[in-house]
Amino acid sequence: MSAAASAWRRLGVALLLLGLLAAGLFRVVPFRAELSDLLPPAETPAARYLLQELRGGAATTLLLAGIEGAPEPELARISRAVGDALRASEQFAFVGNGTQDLPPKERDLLFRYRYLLSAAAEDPSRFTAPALRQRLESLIDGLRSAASPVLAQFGFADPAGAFLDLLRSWLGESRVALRDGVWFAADAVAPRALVVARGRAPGTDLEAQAAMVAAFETAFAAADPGPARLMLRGPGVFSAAAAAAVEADVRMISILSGVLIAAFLLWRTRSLLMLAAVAVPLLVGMLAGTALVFAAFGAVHGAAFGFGMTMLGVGADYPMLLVGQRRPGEALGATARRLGGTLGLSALAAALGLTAMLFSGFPLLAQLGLFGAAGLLAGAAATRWLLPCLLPGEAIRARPLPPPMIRALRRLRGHHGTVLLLPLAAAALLVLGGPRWNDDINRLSPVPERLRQEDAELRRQLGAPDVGTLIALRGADAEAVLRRAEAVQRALDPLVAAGALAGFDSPARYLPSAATQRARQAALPGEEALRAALAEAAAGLPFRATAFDRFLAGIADSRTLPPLTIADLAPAPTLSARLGLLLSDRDGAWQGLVIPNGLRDLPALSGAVAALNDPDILFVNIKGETEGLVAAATGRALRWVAAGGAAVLLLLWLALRRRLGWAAGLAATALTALPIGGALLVTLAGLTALGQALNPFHLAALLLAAGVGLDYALFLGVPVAEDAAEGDRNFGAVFNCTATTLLTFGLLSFCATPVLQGIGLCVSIGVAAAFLLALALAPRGVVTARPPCNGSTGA
Amino acid sequence: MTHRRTLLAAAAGALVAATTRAQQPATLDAVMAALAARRQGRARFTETKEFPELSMPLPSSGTLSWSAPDRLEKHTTEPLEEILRVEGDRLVFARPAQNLRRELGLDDQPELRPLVESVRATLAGDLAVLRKHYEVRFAAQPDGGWRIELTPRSMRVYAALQSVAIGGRGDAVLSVVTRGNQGETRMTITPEP
Repeated sequence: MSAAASAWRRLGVALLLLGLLAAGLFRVVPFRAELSDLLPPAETPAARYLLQELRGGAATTLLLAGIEGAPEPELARISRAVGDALRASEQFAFVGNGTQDLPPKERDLLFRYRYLLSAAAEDPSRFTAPALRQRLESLIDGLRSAASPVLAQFGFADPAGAFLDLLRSWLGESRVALRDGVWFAADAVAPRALVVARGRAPGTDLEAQAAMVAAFETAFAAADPGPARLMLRGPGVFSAAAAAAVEADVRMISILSGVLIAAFLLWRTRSLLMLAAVAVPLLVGMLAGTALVFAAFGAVHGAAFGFGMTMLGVGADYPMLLVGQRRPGEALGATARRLGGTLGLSALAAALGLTAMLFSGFPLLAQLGLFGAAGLLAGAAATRWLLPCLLPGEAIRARPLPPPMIRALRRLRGHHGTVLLLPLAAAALLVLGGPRWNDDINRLSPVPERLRQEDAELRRQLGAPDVGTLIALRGADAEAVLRRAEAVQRALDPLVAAGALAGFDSPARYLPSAATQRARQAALPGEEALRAALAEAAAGLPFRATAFDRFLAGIADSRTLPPLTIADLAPAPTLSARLGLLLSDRDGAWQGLVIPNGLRDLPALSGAVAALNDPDILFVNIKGETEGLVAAATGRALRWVAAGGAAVLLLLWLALRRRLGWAAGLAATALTALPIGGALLVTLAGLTALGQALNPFHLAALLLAAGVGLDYALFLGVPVAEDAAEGDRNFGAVFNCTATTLLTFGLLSFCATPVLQGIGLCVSIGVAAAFLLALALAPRGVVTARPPCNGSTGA
Repeated sequence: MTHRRTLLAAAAGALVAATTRAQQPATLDAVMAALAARRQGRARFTETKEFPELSMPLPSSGTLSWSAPDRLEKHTTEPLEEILRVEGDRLVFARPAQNLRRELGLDDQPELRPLVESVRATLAGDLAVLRKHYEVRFAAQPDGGWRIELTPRSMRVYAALQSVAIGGRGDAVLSVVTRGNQGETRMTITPEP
């Protein structure tokens, strides 16, 4: 009794001190939540560009919304109210929800600049008598038609048709249906009003993104939506949703697994002291991991902390192994000394494996590896040296497993039949065609699959097709980028004519460079020549002499206009919105995008861009680049995992050689490594059978599973005294570890976040297989007190 | 006794109502009701368009057909075939000779729906829709004819279209005169039996 009371006192003080330390540490350490830390590093300029765009490009400022769940007129009313409120909030550079109608001020500006903006003006033959004759005849014809109001409005001031050509080329065909003046999804089963908004802040500004989302939700609530629902998607929403999803998963796991593990430990030890004892190395590990990651990276990623803590859950094995294998009457300090070598070796080996993640190149994985390695080592050290001082005497007595379980485990121990699992797994892997490697960058994202699909659906309904390739432009100013866009345009026009490409969108389509505008001015006809051509063209047609005065004045005005620049577009919100995604100022460096569509000949396109031979014009094949990015990162992670594995084997052999000598050390190393290698094989087969495509996070999880499996192999492989009770205690302790690990990671495999689910599955399968295999290969004879059969003890 | 007096009063009332209808000029509500009662119609039209920039008007002719509640087709046959059809919220414009066909939503351009509804809502006898887009003035003529004068409510529409005057008799529309700042269009309609 006094032992327990003293243990409680000491444990209480230790936990209090550790808690205070933790509280202090969390005050100092900043936590990050950036999704981009989950992305692999870039190795090519195209990949670098792509990652930068994924992190903070113009596309990350987009918010897409669907409003549904009410009758159409009601949805239209809500959409209009939301649109008006968002425009009034001034948080958005552009809000589109319906009639894409040029505001009168913008129409006047564009009409004034029609001969500078339209490519039609470049062609002097447009202003000759025969060409004008044709236009005038079709003007008369048009005036007879139902379209006469539009033609009468623009036809006399612009018989050359530059303005209407301009509008036609900009507006194009839209797949969005317009009802009641509001955008609706054309193919939706239930009516869904569509709204798209572009924020002013870059996607990297998470606070501004959150404010945009809040503005949207406030505007929607203020529109008195009744039964209607707002469906908001876009990178800003994704960051929040992903953070929430990871947080919800981690919370669910920590609470559920905490409760389950506590219940399991209580069942096994009937002692609350055990719970407190397990908490000590866990807390020490967490402190060490957090402090080290903070010291190395300057901040701790929230996800690294969350995943890392689940990893450290494995660290709870150490006190269980220690307490569980204490012999009756033995002081815990003596047990720690007896098992210290094995404990140290297994922690060192697991940490060595995790250290490999430091070099994976993924910022998150590197943090996770460091956190796990430091945490495990610190946890093991706390178990070895701290716990024995905190738990004097026989404060905790592990109870033997229930007899049926002991009998089952005894039968499994040394039962080589289990090893048949390995050829089975190998055969399964062969049949399934080997493990599949993930090359989809989206699978690395913690954004729930459902959200991503809804986002894709909204994009499709809004007529924004998936962009497969793009051409990125750079320049010191907007003019430089626009000139490059025009160079690309000249290179791509022949491809469009040849059918290699259906078309492309370019910033220069909306705003030609000042150089081009000046060239167009210079190409405009002189007044006398134009007058003469007009008179010749109008001969015999019923036009009054003054009919085209506005045209002549317009041409004269165009000749002296200063070129339109991006700074003059304040009265032109529609044009600005179109241009905004294609031309943007990124901290003083201007970036442009040319987006091809309907691509049929990829080599022709990349060849045409390469032929421009301009380092500031970059061809990006998005799918290829991201796949390459992921594959390169996966390959690198794989190499480091292999290196980590080799290092662990070396460490094992060095340690065992010292204990057992050369040859026996080698055999023992093989015997220890076999269950782990086998478990990895079984895990790969299991994951492949479950349809999981492997990514670097799986590799990290495999490392963890290997590290844990190593504990089992080492502890089960320890030559124990010829005592059945000792053998039972031995595998009882290891069984307890397996059970708690399975409780944590088994739960993880029910997570909604794909990455967490993958880790959960990986570790669960790996740990279960490692336990069974280690048990099968463990020395049998000492337990049953019969002579060892065929020397499989490895000793 | 009471019973008979009520009957008498009702008969007298009916008599008074009947004579009023015959003698008094038409009211807007009555014209609208008559138009709404007509579910189908076909007519020939001739149209002249005048523009300040042209030295002579441009004539055209063809047929009109109406079928309630919202389908209106203007089929121009001379001098060039052209079909303009409005149904629901969609407008189809086609010129077969040029192989041109365009389909628009009535809300795609702000001036489009008011222009369409000036004729369509009149034919449908839908005063509420007319009043949504226009100030409506009504004048009855002594000979039983009537005239509806529409002035756009929206400044933006008014900038392009100053007035639409629709003339008719009974449940038939006989003329539509549209005045815009780009010119004037006069359409004369001859109903077919």
